[in-house]
Amino acid sequence: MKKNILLHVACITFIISSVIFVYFFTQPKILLENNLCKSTISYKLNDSNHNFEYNIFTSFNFTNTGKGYIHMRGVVIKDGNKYTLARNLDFSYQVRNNSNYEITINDVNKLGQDNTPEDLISKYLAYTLPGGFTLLKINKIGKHLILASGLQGPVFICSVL
Amino acid sequence: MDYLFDNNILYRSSDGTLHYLEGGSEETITLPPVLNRILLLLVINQGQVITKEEFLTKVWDNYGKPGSSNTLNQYLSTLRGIFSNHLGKKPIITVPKQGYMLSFEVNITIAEEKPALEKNEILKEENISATKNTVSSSPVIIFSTDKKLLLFYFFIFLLAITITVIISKKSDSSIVIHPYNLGKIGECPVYSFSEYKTELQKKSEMEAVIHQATKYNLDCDTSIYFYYYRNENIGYGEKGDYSMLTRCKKTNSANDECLTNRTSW
Repeated sequence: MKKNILLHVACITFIISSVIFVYFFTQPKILLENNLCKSTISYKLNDSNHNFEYNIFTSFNFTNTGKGYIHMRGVVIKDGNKYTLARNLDFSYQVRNNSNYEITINDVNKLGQDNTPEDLISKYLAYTLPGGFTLLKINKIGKHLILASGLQGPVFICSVL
Repeated sequence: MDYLFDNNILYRSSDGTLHYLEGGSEETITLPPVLNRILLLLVINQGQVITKEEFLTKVWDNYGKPGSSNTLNQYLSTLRGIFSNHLGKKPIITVPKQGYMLSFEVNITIAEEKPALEKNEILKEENISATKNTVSSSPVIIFSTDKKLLLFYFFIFLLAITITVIISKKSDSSIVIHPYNLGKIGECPVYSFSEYKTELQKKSEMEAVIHQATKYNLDCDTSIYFYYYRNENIGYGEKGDYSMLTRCKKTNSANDECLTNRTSW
């Protein structure tokens, strides 16, 4: 009888351990962790009071330590004036439910050629300033494309390397 | 009826169990019905030759099962293994051209069911627990209680793992989206993240797509495809509205290049 109880306990323990192992082993990988996501974004604001647009190549690099960096290179045009945008952003991030990324900008390093006025950044690209917080929902489209969505809906598609 | 073989094995013909009493252990195996019938036939005819035909008739034919000499030999081999392992004897004798016989080398006594167990002071509990199957190498499968238990847990294990994998896959699939086909710009497919129910809705959206593609000079060739999204909460072109048209180009490498064009109002 004692032997039988031991056998039951051993089997149940084995099954529970296996289930836990398989569950964690088969959990979907965090999509962007340790990945580079590249995208070119053209934006145009069609507003009579604001004549603003930009064309920026952006690459997101998410490390597996909860930190990452963004390279931004491109041009910003305001009222016909063209500015160069070249800066690197350090950020930290948290992932919830595998697809919700909470990104907080920690630091911004402007490169020499970056001459975009800070008031323009504050007005139109405030989420790239230190302390800027962005919530992105990440979904996979096909094998190598990622759809990033903000609170209102999709904002860009990047390709994962 | 219960029989004691050399006071070492208790054979319970009613349920086909063999209880090994040696060494104070509590080992039990359950014989398959055919093997039980063969052993019983040998036991009640101890010292007498039983022909193959008699075996085939009484063990198989009478139960509507097909039997053969080969199968009989296999079962007898299993029984020989049991006697050899637990009694150190070979009491099943082949009588050439006649049949088989259980010799008197083994002392068989009829045992009273429960008192016999108590007398031997071996099986002290009501339920006889099964332990190991000592004839696992035999060609005939004997199911011990342990094996049944392990088989049960094996199925539970498979079921649990399957359910776990399904749950995990479901969670994985929630982060994958499958765009809908909206239309075409030239030969280039346009996909949408919302499903448009009517052709009229699709046509209206495609007009907006073509307008945006023209505005941003997004050309088309065979390697190009588009994704389109428009914020549907606000009327098209109204303040707060925005639309997104992404042009992706298939490349030779695994990663397609995409350009996202977003317009806000």
